[in-house]
Amino acid sequence: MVKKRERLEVIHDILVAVRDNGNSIKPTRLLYASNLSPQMFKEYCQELVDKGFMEIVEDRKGKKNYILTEKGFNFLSRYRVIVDFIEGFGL
Amino acid sequence: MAFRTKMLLLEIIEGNRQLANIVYNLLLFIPSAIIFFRINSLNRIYGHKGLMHFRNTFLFLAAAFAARTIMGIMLVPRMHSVISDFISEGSLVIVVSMLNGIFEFALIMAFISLGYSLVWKHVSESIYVGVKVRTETLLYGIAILIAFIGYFTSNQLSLIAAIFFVMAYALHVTYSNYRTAVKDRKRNNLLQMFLITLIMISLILIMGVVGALITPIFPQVAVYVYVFTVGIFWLILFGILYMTDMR
Repeated sequence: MVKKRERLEVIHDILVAVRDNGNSIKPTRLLYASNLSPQMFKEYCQELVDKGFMEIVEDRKGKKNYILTEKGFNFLSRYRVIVDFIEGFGL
Repeated sequence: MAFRTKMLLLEIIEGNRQLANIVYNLLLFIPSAIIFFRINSLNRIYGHKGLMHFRNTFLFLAAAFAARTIMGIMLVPRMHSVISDFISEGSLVIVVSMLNGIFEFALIMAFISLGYSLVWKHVSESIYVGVKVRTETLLYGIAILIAFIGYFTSNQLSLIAAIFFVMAYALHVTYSNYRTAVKDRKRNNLLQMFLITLIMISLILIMGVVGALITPIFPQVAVYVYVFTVGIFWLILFGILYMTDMR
């Protein structure tokens, strides 16, 4: 049975999926990459956009894409430190 | 030679007690402030509730020791006479008294924040006490109440008892987390280090209380407690700086 992912891990996986797709990914593709239910995916993405980790931009065809912001990149670079800190202290 | 140096140092500290007190509080303020800013930089990247309250622990500690430092400076005779030229003696007494109140409130809030950062996941966001209040608001209220009791009764027993209670609980939670990690065979040196740090802080608290009781008889004990406390705080600082360094 697959271990349930922690919240931080889910956020990390979503942001990594965006980054690894050339920092621009369509919502459907991101949904598949995130391995979440559509409902959870919508909630997480909304939260990430609201907190400034991601942005929604429109391409030339008017299709929406998710991209990482500087804050999103910052999170990825410090992810390991944050996780180790939180797990280490049991916060 | 080492013994003579030690005795000389103790004599100097005894003779300049007020200055030693200021330096002591400053040496606790500095690492607390640095730790706060370092953890805050992580919290700004990702606003984790536990991280936020853990950060607040050091914010309140920094505030507490800053208040004590300022109090100490104001009570130095030369500074006291300079300040008296600008504000009345009565106002000065009120300011010093308020700073003491801030110290007590900040100190108890620091320990409450520490405890809450460890258990927030298992506690509901709101608690019903006649009316529905947020848990954090209730904790602030408890801290203010304890600080008030200590302030108006000039009795620090409630403050000390509250701090010991929170520390005991924090130790229990961290030890449980550590036992779970060991049982799951997840080696976690950081958790082990944190547990040891909490044990040492508890020892400092016990030594502080014992030291306060026997200081009139053995004044040197207070100096050892102060040195040990400063050592622990700076060790925690270096530990956190090392852990949160850019990797």
